[in-house]
Amino acid sequence: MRTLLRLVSLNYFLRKGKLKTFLTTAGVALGVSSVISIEIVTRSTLVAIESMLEETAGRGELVVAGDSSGIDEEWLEKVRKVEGVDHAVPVIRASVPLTAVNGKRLVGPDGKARPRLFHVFGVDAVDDKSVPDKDFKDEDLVMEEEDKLDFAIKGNSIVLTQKFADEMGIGDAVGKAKVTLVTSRGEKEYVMRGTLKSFGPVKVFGGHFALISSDFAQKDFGKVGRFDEINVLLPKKTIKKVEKGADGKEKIVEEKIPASQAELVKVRDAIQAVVGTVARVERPRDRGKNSETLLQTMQAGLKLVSLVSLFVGMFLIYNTVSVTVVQRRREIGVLRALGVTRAQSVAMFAIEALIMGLVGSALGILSGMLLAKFLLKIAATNVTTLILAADISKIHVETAAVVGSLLLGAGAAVLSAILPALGAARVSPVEATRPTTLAVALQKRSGVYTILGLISFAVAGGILAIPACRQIEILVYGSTMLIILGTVALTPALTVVIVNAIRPIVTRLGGVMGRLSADNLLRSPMRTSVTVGAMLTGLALTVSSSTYVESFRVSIDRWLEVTVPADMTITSSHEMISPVSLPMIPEVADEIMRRVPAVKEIQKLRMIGIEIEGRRADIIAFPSQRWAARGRLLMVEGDEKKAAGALAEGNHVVVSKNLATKWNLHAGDTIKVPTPLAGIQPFKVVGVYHDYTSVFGLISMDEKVFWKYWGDKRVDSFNIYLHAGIAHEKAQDDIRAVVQERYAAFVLTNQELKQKVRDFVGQAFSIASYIEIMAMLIALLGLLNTLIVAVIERTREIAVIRTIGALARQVAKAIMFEGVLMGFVGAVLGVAAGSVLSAINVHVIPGIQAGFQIDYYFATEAVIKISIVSLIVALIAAFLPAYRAARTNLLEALEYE
Amino acid sequence: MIKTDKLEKWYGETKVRVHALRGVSLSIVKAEFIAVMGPSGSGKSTLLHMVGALDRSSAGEVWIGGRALSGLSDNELTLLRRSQIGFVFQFFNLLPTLTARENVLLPALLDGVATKEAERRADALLDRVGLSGRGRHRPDELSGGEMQRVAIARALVKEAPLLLADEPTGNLDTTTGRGIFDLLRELKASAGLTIVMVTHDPNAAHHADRVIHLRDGLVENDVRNHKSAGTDAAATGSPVAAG
Ligand SMILES: Nc1ncnc2c1ncn2[C@@H]1O[C@H](COP(=O)(O)OP(=O)(O)OP(=O)(O)O)[C@@H](O)[C@H]1O
Ligand SMILES: [Mg+2]
Repeated sequence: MRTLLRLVSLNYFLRKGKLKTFLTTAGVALGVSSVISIEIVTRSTLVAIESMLEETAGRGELVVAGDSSGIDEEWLEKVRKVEGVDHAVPVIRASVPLTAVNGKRLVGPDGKARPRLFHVFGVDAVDDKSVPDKDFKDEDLVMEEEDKLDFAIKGNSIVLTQKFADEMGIGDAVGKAKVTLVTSRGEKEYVMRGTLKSFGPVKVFGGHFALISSDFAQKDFGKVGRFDEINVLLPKKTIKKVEKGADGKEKIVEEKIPASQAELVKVRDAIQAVVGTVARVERPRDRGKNSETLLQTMQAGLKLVSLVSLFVGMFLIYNTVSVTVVQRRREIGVLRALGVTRAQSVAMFAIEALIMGLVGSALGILSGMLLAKFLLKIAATNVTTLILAADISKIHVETAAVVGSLLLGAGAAVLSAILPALGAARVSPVEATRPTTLAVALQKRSGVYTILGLISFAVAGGILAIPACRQIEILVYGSTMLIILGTVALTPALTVVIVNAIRPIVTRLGGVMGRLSADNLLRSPMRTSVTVGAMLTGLALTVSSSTYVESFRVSIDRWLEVTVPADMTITSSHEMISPVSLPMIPEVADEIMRRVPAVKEIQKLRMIGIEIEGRRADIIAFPSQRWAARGRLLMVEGDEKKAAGALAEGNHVVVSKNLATKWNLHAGDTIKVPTPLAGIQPFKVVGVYHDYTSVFGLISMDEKVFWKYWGDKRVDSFNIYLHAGIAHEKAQDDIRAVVQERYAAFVLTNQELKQKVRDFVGQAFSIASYIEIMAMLIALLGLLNTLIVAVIERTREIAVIRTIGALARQVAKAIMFEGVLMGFVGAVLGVAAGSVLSAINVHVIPGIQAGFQIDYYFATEAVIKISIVSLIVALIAAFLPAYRAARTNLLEALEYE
Repeated sequence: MIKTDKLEKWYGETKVRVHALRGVSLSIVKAEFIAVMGPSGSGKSTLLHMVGALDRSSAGEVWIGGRALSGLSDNELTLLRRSQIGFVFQFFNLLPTLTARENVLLPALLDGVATKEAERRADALLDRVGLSGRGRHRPDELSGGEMQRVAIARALVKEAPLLLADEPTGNLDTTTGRGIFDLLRELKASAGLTIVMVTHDPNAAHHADRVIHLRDGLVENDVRNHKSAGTDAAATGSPVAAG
């Protein structure tokens, strides 16, 4: 074996195979790179979100949390009095945009305003440590004593993170530097009184974290008299233990141990009994569950992408490795004729592949990590402005992922080598030495693939046809995979169909050489499918997810069109309407009505997050009668007019389709909702309608009902209707003037609001789309690689054609044609497979995830763009090998054997 | 038709230089059938490659139909090959993805011959080399001799005036080999084909008009084969020629 490797393998590498070895290794590297970079991006994003949830979960052993409108201050004292409670600390927090530093607006690279989303915590005093973190130590705080005093008494004090301060170049300007936050009373400047060194929350928020005094936090964030939650600590027990000291003598040591589980449960039940339905008492760990749905929605998209990337990677590896082995089929024949055993010859190729696989995987892991890092960096600046305050720019690499990709890359390489090598070793040496090429070797199996492809489609179709199976995530993903596999398996057969269809056009454009290249593909459709497999999968992925996003976008757009007919909307939040906004007082509406005559009507909306039996939902309160007169509800169940009438009459609600799906609710059912003022109340569902406001699901009730049970008249957004024939610009300015005396709220026209929603949707999917771009990039690089390999494989063929009279130019042209044709086949099949996938995405996956039901809208524009790009890349990819082919030394190529 | 003057070819760098041809001067007229012989490594294939415009000489000059090759661009060389020269390689060099018939067709199509006409010629040639039934087979389904015959048919399909063949019968049994020689001779007679054929077969040399012996890259001797005139005459009456 050693001799074989040294003599045959090494010499192959040194003499002829340098370029090929390089390309094969590069193929493995690309494949591994795509798998690991996507894995890292996915993992890092999820870890960032998870650790954000964990860090903000609270340092208390128990957390008393109301709905998102918070809990009244009066409960703090009551909680403190509960037996077994050692400390009860209020938490006030807000996520608000920081817009300026020292009066200078923060802008992005494009020159547009780019505020940073900040997590601000209210604390009684800086060293009070009610900050929800386990590791916040005194050393973490850089602050003078007198600044600490100022912090407590001066309302414009803020403690920023050292990281952010350094970034902004104000790291040493304590007491002087100022930052501007958007508060519920408008933009406000704060003076930096100190800085926080890196610790938990600072890290997860990427430095976008700040402390202000709790009294002022309540005022500034519209939470006067309210807390977001109360952290509860139980007394530590002191136990005495006997320990052996260093001197060998036994001595008694005192140790503090936290309360036991049983005590924790006891205290929890005691507090719950006191607060009743006003709040839930939980362990902080359990609170993270609230956000799980959101996390799952993100995860679902990312999981699918990384699964597909695995395919892209495997194809690249299989392609490049198997091509080289098939090419050396004759070598196997010769070796076998010389007395090398079957096993030895296969082993030789396996070991070669293993070495290339390992080297390629190592390179792939390195480049994948770099790629992921780069990608996360771009994504981070984009995503964190709207959606996430978590810092996703840090890359998180798991050892398992690295080891896994290494094994995957090497394993796939070895397998890709063994299969064709076995094929060659199985036949007699004489047979193996016959001239053959990949095309011929593969062609024999093409019928099997067609059957496999059809079976894959049939199984996938069967699974998806059964409604019960559509609800099971793993089956849905499984059928997605089957469809991709099926498409690849059917590629040979479909290549023939496609190429035949366009052959006349190609002949007209390319003459004899055009026809030759078309015929060449027709003759070797298997080779084509191997070459375009990776590109096809990448494209299918891109097409399906852009269509998924487009469907969401258009569905939401259309919903906005009918549901939000208001001319203008005032929203205090940087988001649309959401439970994390800074609510405004209702009197704003009266003031606008009084001072802006153009306004005809104003409707108030309030939205809060609640939890019912451990499941998250959002409640929206709105004037149902007025709404019904103006807008429309896209009813799924129940009659619109009747439902609107019923809402005003008391304990009636309409719920969004996604909530209905998730909770299995129908018109006529009753849900029990905990309310702060009247305990658990039953509400009858009088209708189900389409609404995309909340991923958790929306319970809509009349505002009067809400006021009665929640006693909360604050407003998250005002919908404004103007008199007919009024100039919107003027009215917008006037309204803005009134609102901004009090709040830094946004006054948006209908168009602007829609744009905002679109941006939001775009950002919500942006990580997935970055990954898609990456997958596409790698797939196209793969196409380049495989085309080059395909041309090298045919060096001899090309030389023959040249000797019998084809011009270098003609050969180059033929190869370019072939490349573009392959690109075309890949594009057509990729788009086709992508359309099927997107239909599943649109109709099945949102249902599993958020319960949303969206309509199918094909992302025509994006698909055309991406198809053109891939054709251009195919052209470029074909150019290199064509150039090379045109320049091959004829005799060398001919005497190659 | 062909003229070479002090033709030299060497391979590799100065230190390890292999001198394949050391100054070959030849003159071959139209419709001449030349056999090139000589020990292995004497430069036969190299000479054929030079004459066939497949590679450039290191020194000296080659003229084909009065045109000096050294002054021609790669494109011009290709066009010359396309219109003037048919090749039969020592290792057949058929395109593995094409069928026998398609392999034969290809040069004609490249030369701009209409598809119908090219197909007619290909079928006629396959018939002539005794492969009329095997046109739809791919090279890996043919025997060595059959592949060689396909290669010959391919070289002839363009009806180029010059045919260069490197050991065309090296892989064939005597009977088939003789059939090939007969075919070549007949073509020379009927179409005025100029043929340069490398061979190790002393019998084959008898069929030629002239035998050129190479040794160490030089012409060792160059003899006119008088007997060939007789065989030529005999060939005219052969069944192949008659058909
Ligand atoms: N590409 C090349 N690189 C280096 N040396 C070469 C090359 N091609 C041929 N030679 C050398 O040139 C000399 C002549 O080779 P050529 O192939 O013309 O011999 P030949 O007479 O055809 O032999 P044979 O009867 O074995 O085919 C040989 O010594 C050979 O080793
Ligand atoms: Mg030779």
